[in-house]
Amino acid sequence: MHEMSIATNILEIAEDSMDGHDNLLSITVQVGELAGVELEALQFCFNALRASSRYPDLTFIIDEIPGEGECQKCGAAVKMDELFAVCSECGNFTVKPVRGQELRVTSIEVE
Amino acid sequence: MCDTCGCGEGTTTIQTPAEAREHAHQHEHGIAHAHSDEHDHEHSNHQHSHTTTIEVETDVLKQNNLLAERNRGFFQAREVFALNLVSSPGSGKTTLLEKSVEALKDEKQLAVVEGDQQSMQDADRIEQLGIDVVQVNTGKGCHLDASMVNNAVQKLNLQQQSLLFIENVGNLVCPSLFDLGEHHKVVIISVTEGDDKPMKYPTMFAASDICIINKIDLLPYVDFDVERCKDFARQVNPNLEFFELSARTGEGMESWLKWLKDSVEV
Repeated sequence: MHEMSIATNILEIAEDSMDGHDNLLSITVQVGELAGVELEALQFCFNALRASSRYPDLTFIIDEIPGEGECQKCGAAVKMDELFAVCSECGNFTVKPVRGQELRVTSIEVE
Repeated sequence: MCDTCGCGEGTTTIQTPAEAREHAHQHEHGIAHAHSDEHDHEHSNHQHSHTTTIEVETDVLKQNNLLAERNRGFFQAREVFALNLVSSPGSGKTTLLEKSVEALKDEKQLAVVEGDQQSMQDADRIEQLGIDVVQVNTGKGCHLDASMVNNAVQKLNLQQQSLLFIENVGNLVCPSLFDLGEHHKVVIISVTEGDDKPMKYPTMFAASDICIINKIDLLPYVDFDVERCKDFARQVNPNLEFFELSARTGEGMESWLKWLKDSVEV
Protein backbone atom coordinates (compact mmCIF):
# COMPACT_ATOMS: atom_id res chain seq x y z
CA MET A 1 0.00 0.00 0.00
CA HIS A 2 2.61 2.53 -1.08
CA GLU A 3 -0.26 4.71 -2.30
CA MET A 4 -0.48 6.20 1.21
CA SER A 5 3.11 7.48 1.00
CA ILE A 6 2.42 8.73 -2.51
CA ALA A 7 -0.73 10.56 -1.39
CA THR A 8 1.15 12.08 1.55
CA ASN A 9 3.92 13.25 -0.76
CA ILE A 10 1.37 14.78 -3.13
CA LEU A 11 -0.27 16.76 -0.33
CA GLU A 12 3.14 17.92 0.93
CA ILE A 13 4.19 19.10 -2.52
CA ALA A 14 0.88 20.94 -2.91
CA GLU A 15 1.20 22.61 0.50
CA ASP A 16 4.76 23.68 -0.29
CA SER A 17 3.52 25.32 -3.50
CA MET A 18 0.66 27.39 -2.01
CA ASP A 19 2.61 30.60 -2.22
CA GLY A 20 1.05 32.23 0.85
CA HIS A 21 -2.56 31.28 0.10
CA ASP A 22 -4.67 29.83 2.91
CA ASN A 23 -6.94 27.32 1.26
CA LEU A 24 -6.18 24.47 -1.05
CA LEU A 25 -9.07 23.71 -3.41
CA SER A 26 -7.72 21.14 -5.80
CA ILE A 27 -4.62 19.22 -6.75
CA THR A 28 -4.09 17.91 -10.27
CA VAL A 29 -1.72 14.99 -10.69
CA GLN A 30 -0.55 13.09 -13.72
CA VAL A 31 -0.42 9.36 -13.10
CA GLY A 32 0.92 7.14 -15.84
CA GLU A 33 -0.66 3.79 -16.54
CA LEU A 34 2.77 2.19 -15.98
CA ALA A 35 3.70 4.19 -12.88
CA GLY A 36 2.94 1.31 -10.52
CA VAL A 37 0.19 3.19 -8.72
CA GLU A 38 -3.31 1.84 -8.24
CA LEU A 39 -5.67 4.74 -8.92
CA GLU A 40 -8.52 3.53 -6.73
CA ALA A 41 -6.14 3.00 -3.82
CA LEU A 42 -4.63 6.44 -4.38
CA GLN A 43 -8.07 8.05 -4.34
CA PHE A 44 -8.97 6.10 -1.20
CA CYS A 45 -5.79 7.26 0.58
CA PHE A 46 -6.37 10.78 -0.54
CA ASN A 47 -9.88 10.82 0.90
CA ALA A 48 -8.47 9.59 4.18
CA LEU A 49 -5.81 12.31 4.17
CA ARG A 50 -8.28 15.07 3.33
CA ALA A 51 -10.37 14.16 6.37
CA SER A 52 -7.45 14.96 8.65
CA SER A 53 -6.17 17.92 6.63
CA ARG A 54 -6.97 21.62 6.92
CA TYR A 55 -8.76 21.63 3.55
CA PRO A 56 -12.26 20.11 3.75
CA ASP A 57 -13.16 21.10 0.17
CA LEU A 58 -10.06 19.72 -1.44
CA THR A 59 -10.62 17.77 -4.64
CA PHE A 60 -8.11 15.53 -6.26
CA ILE A 61 -7.95 15.43 -10.04
CA ILE A 62 -6.16 12.51 -11.68
CA ASP A 63 -4.98 12.91 -15.22
CA GLU A 64 -4.20 9.38 -16.37
CA ILE A 65 -1.48 9.03 -19.00
CA PRO A 66 -1.70 5.94 -21.21
CA GLY A 67 1.31 3.68 -21.55
CA GLU A 68 3.33 3.76 -24.76
CA GLY A 69 6.53 2.02 -25.67
CA GLU A 70 9.09 1.77 -28.39
CA CYS A 71 10.42 -1.54 -29.69
CA GLN A 72 14.19 -1.68 -29.21
CA LYS A 73 14.54 -4.04 -32.18
CA CYS A 74 12.40 -2.49 -34.90
CA GLY A 75 11.58 0.94 -33.51
CA ALA A 76 7.80 0.55 -33.73
CA ALA A 77 5.57 2.54 -31.37
CA VAL A 78 3.59 0.10 -29.25
CA LYS A 79 0.66 0.63 -26.89
CA MET A 80 1.52 -0.69 -23.41
CA ASP A 81 -0.96 -1.39 -20.65
CA GLU A 82 1.56 -3.43 -18.66
CA LEU A 83 5.29 -3.03 -18.17
CA PHE A 84 5.83 -5.77 -20.72
CA ALA A 85 4.39 -5.89 -24.20
CA VAL A 86 4.85 -7.79 -27.42
CA CYS A 87 5.86 -5.59 -30.33
CA SER A 88 2.88 -5.41 -32.67
CA GLU A 89 5.27 -5.17 -35.66
CA CYS A 90 8.07 -7.70 -35.07
CA GLY A 91 6.69 -9.83 -32.22
CA ASN A 92 9.65 -9.31 -29.88
CA PHE A 93 9.37 -8.56 -26.19
CA THR A 94 11.90 -5.75 -26.39
CA VAL A 95 9.45 -2.92 -25.91
CA LYS A 96 10.73 -0.13 -23.69
CA PRO A 97 8.23 2.26 -22.10
CA VAL A 98 8.53 5.86 -23.27
CA ARG A 99 5.30 7.27 -21.85
CA GLY A 100 3.03 6.32 -18.98
CA GLN A 101 5.46 6.28 -16.06
CA GLU A 102 4.62 9.84 -14.99
CA LEU A 103 3.82 10.55 -11.37
CA ARG A 104 3.78 14.30 -10.86
CA VAL A 105 1.79 17.14 -9.39
CA THR A 106 1.01 19.41 -12.34
CA SER A 107 -0.98 22.21 -10.70
CA ILE A 108 -3.00 23.26 -7.69
CA GLU A 109 -5.91 25.62 -7.19
CA VAL A 110 -5.78 27.85 -4.14
CA GLU A 111 -7.67 30.80 -2.67
CA MET B 1 5.14 8.55 19.58
CA CYS B 2 8.13 8.49 21.89
CA ASP B 3 10.21 11.61 21.15
CA THR B 4 13.59 10.18 21.99
CA CYS B 5 13.44 6.79 20.36
CA GLY B 6 10.54 7.09 17.93
CA CYS B 7 8.71 4.10 19.40
CA GLY B 8 4.98 3.94 18.99
CA GLU B 9 2.40 2.31 16.81
CA GLY B 10 2.75 2.78 13.11
CA THR B 11 5.95 4.81 13.22
CA THR B 12 9.36 4.15 11.78
CA THR B 13 12.15 3.21 14.15
CA ILE B 14 15.78 2.81 13.21
CA GLN B 15 18.06 1.12 15.72
CA THR B 16 20.94 -1.23 16.19
CA PRO B 17 20.29 -4.43 18.18
CA ALA B 18 22.27 -2.91 21.10
CA GLU B 19 20.05 0.17 21.13
CA ALA B 20 16.95 -2.03 21.01
CA ARG B 21 18.08 -3.92 24.09
CA GLU B 22 18.87 -0.68 25.94
CA HIS B 23 15.48 0.70 24.97
CA ALA B 24 13.64 -2.40 26.16
CA HIS B 25 15.58 -2.11 29.40
CA GLN B 26 14.46 1.48 29.89
CA HIS B 27 10.84 0.52 29.36
CA GLU B 28 11.18 -2.26 31.94
CA HIS B 29 12.28 0.32 34.46
CA GLY B 30 9.41 2.58 33.58
CA ILE B 31 11.45 5.51 32.40
CA ALA B 32 8.81 8.04 31.54
CA HIS B 33 8.24 9.38 28.06
CA ALA B 34 6.78 12.81 27.73
CA HIS B 35 4.46 13.17 24.78
CA SER B 36 3.54 16.58 23.63
CA ASP B 37 0.90 16.73 20.99
CA GLU B 38 -0.26 20.27 21.33
CA HIS B 39 -0.19 22.00 18.02
CA ASP B 40 -1.90 25.32 17.70
CA HIS B 41 -2.96 26.37 14.29
CA GLU B 42 -4.14 29.91 13.77
CA HIS B 43 -6.34 30.25 10.75
CA SER B 44 -7.19 33.70 9.56
CA ASN B 45 -10.52 33.94 7.83
CA HIS B 46 -10.40 35.94 4.67
CA GLN B 47 -13.80 36.78 3.29
CA HIS B 48 -12.46 38.09 -0.01
CA SER B 49 -11.16 34.94 -1.63
CA HIS B 50 -10.06 34.50 -5.21
CA THR B 51 -9.25 31.21 -6.83
CA THR B 52 -5.77 31.04 -8.29
CA THR B 53 -4.17 28.24 -10.25
CA ILE B 54 -0.52 27.59 -9.54
CA GLU B 55 1.62 25.49 -11.88
CA VAL B 56 3.56 23.00 -9.80
CA GLU B 57 5.09 20.45 -12.20
CA THR B 58 6.84 18.50 -9.48
CA ASP B 59 7.59 14.81 -9.52
CA VAL B 60 5.79 13.13 -6.61
CA LEU B 61 8.87 11.09 -5.76
CA LYS B 62 11.21 14.06 -6.13
CA GLN B 63 12.00 14.28 -2.42
CA ASN B 64 12.76 10.57 -2.27
CA ASN B 65 14.81 10.70 -5.45
CA LEU B 66 16.84 13.65 -4.18
CA LEU B 67 17.62 11.83 -0.96
CA ALA B 68 18.45 8.69 -2.94
CA GLU B 69 20.96 10.70 -4.95
CA ARG B 70 22.44 11.95 -1.70
CA ASN B 71 22.82 8.36 -0.52
CA ARG B 72 24.35 7.48 -3.86
CA GLY B 73 26.92 10.27 -3.46
CA PHE B 74 27.71 9.10 0.06
CA PHE B 75 28.23 5.53 -1.18
CA GLN B 76 30.34 6.73 -4.08
CA ALA B 77 32.60 8.80 -1.83
CA ARG B 78 33.30 5.75 0.31
CA GLU B 79 33.31 3.34 -2.64
CA VAL B 80 30.50 1.43 -0.97
CA PHE B 81 28.70 -1.08 -3.15
CA ALA B 82 25.04 -1.06 -2.08
CA LEU B 83 22.44 -3.69 -2.95
CA ASN B 84 18.71 -3.44 -2.32
CA LEU B 85 17.29 -6.95 -1.78
CA VAL B 86 13.61 -7.17 -2.64
CA SER B 87 11.16 -10.08 -2.72
CA SER B 88 7.90 -11.45 -1.36
CA PRO B 89 7.96 -12.49 2.30
CA GLY B 90 9.42 -15.97 2.70
CA SER B 91 11.64 -16.10 -0.39
CA GLY B 92 14.69 -16.62 1.81
CA LYS B 93 16.19 -13.12 1.70
CA THR B 94 17.51 -13.23 5.25
CA THR B 95 18.97 -16.73 4.87
CA LEU B 96 20.67 -15.70 1.62
CA LEU B 97 22.02 -12.66 3.43
CA GLU B 98 23.29 -14.73 6.35
CA LYS B 99 25.05 -17.19 4.05
CA SER B 100 26.55 -14.42 1.93
CA VAL B 101 27.75 -12.57 5.03
CA GLU B 102 29.24 -15.76 6.51
CA ALA B 103 31.11 -16.49 3.29
CA LEU B 104 32.48 -12.98 2.78
CA LYS B 105 32.99 -11.50 6.21
CA ASP B 106 36.67 -12.46 6.49
CA GLU B 107 37.53 -10.96 3.10
CA LYS B 108 35.29 -7.91 2.78
CA GLN B 109 33.95 -5.06 4.87
CA LEU B 110 30.23 -5.73 5.21
CA ALA B 111 27.26 -3.86 6.64
CA VAL B 112 23.54 -4.56 6.67
CA VAL B 113 20.37 -2.49 6.87
CA GLU B 114 17.37 -4.66 7.72
CA GLY B 115 13.87 -3.51 6.86
CA ASP B 116 10.75 -5.05 8.38
CA GLN B 117 7.46 -3.72 9.62
CA GLN B 118 8.15 -4.95 13.14
CA SER B 119 10.72 -6.77 15.30
CA MET B 120 14.48 -6.94 15.69
CA GLN B 121 14.42 -10.59 14.55
CA ASP B 122 16.49 -10.18 11.39
CA ALA B 123 18.99 -7.71 12.81
CA ASP B 124 19.60 -10.08 15.72
CA ARG B 125 20.32 -12.90 13.25
CA ILE B 126 22.86 -10.76 11.39
CA GLU B 127 24.41 -9.36 14.56
CA GLN B 128 25.26 -12.89 15.65
CA LEU B 129 27.59 -13.08 12.66
CA GLY B 130 29.53 -10.12 14.03
CA ILE B 131 28.49 -7.66 11.33
CA ASP B 132 27.37 -4.03 11.74
CA VAL B 133 23.61 -3.99 11.34
CA VAL B 134 20.78 -1.49 11.76
CA GLN B 135 17.14 -2.49 11.84
CA VAL B 136 14.55 -0.18 10.29
CA ASN B 137 11.03 -0.94 11.48
CA THR B 138 8.62 0.78 9.17
CA GLY B 139 5.59 0.30 11.44
CA LYS B 140 2.69 0.23 9.01
CA GLY B 141 4.92 1.15 6.06
CA CYS B 142 5.27 -1.39 3.29
CA HIS B 143 8.66 -0.32 1.92
CA LEU B 144 11.93 1.37 2.78
CA ASP B 145 12.47 4.87 1.43
CA ALA B 146 15.62 6.87 0.83
CA SER B 147 15.29 8.90 4.02
CA MET B 148 15.10 5.75 6.19
CA VAL B 149 18.24 4.42 4.54
CA ASN B 150 19.90 7.82 4.94
CA ASN B 151 19.20 7.73 8.69
CA ALA B 152 20.15 4.07 8.98
CA VAL B 153 23.55 4.35 7.29
CA GLN B 154 24.47 7.16 9.67
CA LYS B 155 24.26 4.61 12.47
CA LEU B 156 26.58 2.27 10.62
CA ASN B 157 30.28 2.83 10.73
CA LEU B 158 30.60 2.27 6.97
CA GLN B 159 34.18 1.53 6.00
CA GLN B 160 35.78 2.40 2.68
CA GLN B 161 34.94 -0.19 -0.02
CA SER B 162 32.24 -1.89 2.04
CA LEU B 163 29.54 -4.08 0.66
CA LEU B 164 26.20 -2.82 2.00
CA PHE B 165 23.15 -5.08 1.90
CA ILE B 166 19.81 -3.36 2.33
CA GLU B 167 17.12 -5.96 2.96
CA ASN B 168 13.84 -4.35 2.04
CA VAL B 169 10.45 -5.11 3.56
CA GLY B 170 9.06 -8.39 2.15
CA ASN B 171 6.77 -7.04 -0.54
CA LEU B 172 6.97 -7.52 -4.28
CA VAL B 173 5.07 -4.36 -5.16
CA CYS B 174 5.80 -1.18 -3.23
CA PRO B 175 9.61 -1.19 -2.84
CA SER B 176 9.99 -1.09 -6.64
CA LEU B 177 9.02 2.59 -6.72
CA PHE B 178 11.43 3.87 -4.11
CA ASP B 179 15.03 4.45 -5.13
CA LEU B 180 17.27 4.10 -2.07
CA GLY B 181 20.49 5.13 -3.81
CA GLU B 182 21.57 1.52 -4.29
CA HIS B 183 23.70 0.28 -7.17
CA HIS B 184 21.33 -2.56 -7.99
CA LYS B 185 18.00 -3.92 -6.93
CA VAL B 186 18.26 -7.68 -6.51
CA VAL B 187 14.90 -9.45 -6.77
CA ILE B 188 14.70 -12.86 -5.13
CA ILE B 189 12.11 -15.44 -6.09
CA SER B 190 11.95 -18.90 -4.56
CA VAL B 191 10.84 -22.03 -6.40
CA THR B 192 8.00 -22.54 -3.91
CA GLU B 193 6.36 -19.50 -5.51
CA GLY B 194 4.75 -19.54 -8.95
CA ASP B 195 7.08 -19.42 -11.96
CA ASP B 196 4.75 -16.83 -13.51
CA LYS B 197 5.43 -14.31 -10.76
CA PRO B 198 7.46 -12.03 -13.08
CA MET B 199 4.30 -11.61 -15.18
CA LYS B 200 2.12 -10.98 -12.15
CA TYR B 201 4.45 -8.46 -10.51
CA PRO B 202 6.28 -6.99 -13.49
CA THR B 203 7.20 -3.67 -11.89
CA MET B 204 9.68 -5.25 -9.50
CA PHE B 205 11.31 -7.37 -12.21
CA ALA B 206 11.53 -4.33 -14.46
CA ALA B 207 13.17 -2.26 -11.72
CA SER B 208 15.77 -4.93 -10.81
CA ASP B 209 19.08 -5.73 -12.47
CA ILE B 210 19.68 -9.07 -10.79
CA CYS B 211 17.25 -11.94 -10.23
CA ILE B 212 18.08 -14.73 -7.79
CA ILE B 213 16.08 -17.93 -8.04
CA ASN B 214 16.38 -19.40 -4.55
CA LYS B 215 15.58 -22.77 -2.94
CA ILE B 216 16.54 -24.76 -6.06
CA ASP B 217 17.14 -27.78 -3.80
CA LEU B 218 13.34 -28.04 -3.65
CA LEU B 219 12.88 -28.19 -7.43
CA PRO B 220 12.17 -31.97 -7.47
CA TYR B 221 9.16 -31.41 -5.21
CA VAL B 222 7.48 -28.44 -6.87
CA ASP B 223 6.08 -27.57 -10.30
CA PHE B 224 8.33 -24.55 -10.73
CA ASP B 225 9.88 -24.40 -14.22
CA VAL B 226 13.10 -22.37 -14.00
CA GLU B 227 13.35 -21.68 -17.74
CA ARG B 228 9.71 -20.60 -17.91
CA CYS B 229 10.27 -18.22 -15.01
CA LYS B 230 13.36 -16.75 -16.68
CA ASP B 231 11.50 -16.36 -19.97
CA PHE B 232 8.70 -14.47 -18.22
CA ALA B 233 11.20 -12.30 -16.38
CA ARG B 234 13.12 -11.52 -19.59
CA GLN B 235 9.89 -10.42 -21.26
CA VAL B 236 9.59 -7.77 -18.58
CA ASN B 237 13.30 -6.98 -18.45
CA PRO B 238 15.55 -8.37 -21.22
CA ASN B 239 18.71 -7.27 -19.35
CA LEU B 240 18.06 -9.17 -16.13
CA GLU B 241 21.01 -11.25 -14.89
CA PHE B 242 20.14 -14.55 -13.15
CA PHE B 243 21.62 -16.62 -10.35
CA GLU B 244 20.08 -19.98 -9.47
CA LEU B 245 20.97 -21.17 -6.01
CA SER B 246 19.96 -22.66 -2.71
CA ALA B 247 21.07 -20.49 0.19
CA ARG B 248 20.27 -23.39 2.53
CA THR B 249 22.38 -26.11 0.87
CA GLY B 250 24.95 -23.78 -0.72
CA GLU B 251 24.30 -25.07 -4.25
CA GLY B 252 24.99 -22.33 -6.81
CA MET B 253 26.23 -19.89 -4.16
CA GLU B 254 29.69 -19.75 -5.65
CA SER B 255 28.84 -17.69 -8.73
CA TRP B 256 26.71 -15.29 -6.66
CA LEU B 257 29.55 -14.79 -4.18
CA LYS B 258 32.02 -14.29 -7.00
CA TRP B 259 29.75 -11.67 -8.53
CA LEU B 260 29.57 -9.87 -5.16
CA LYS B 261 33.35 -9.92 -4.71
CA ASP B 262 34.00 -8.71 -8.25
CA SER B 263 31.46 -5.92 -7.84
CA VAL B 264 33.06 -4.51 -4.71
CA GLU B 265 36.50 -4.55 -6.29
CA VAL B 266 35.51 -2.55 -9.37
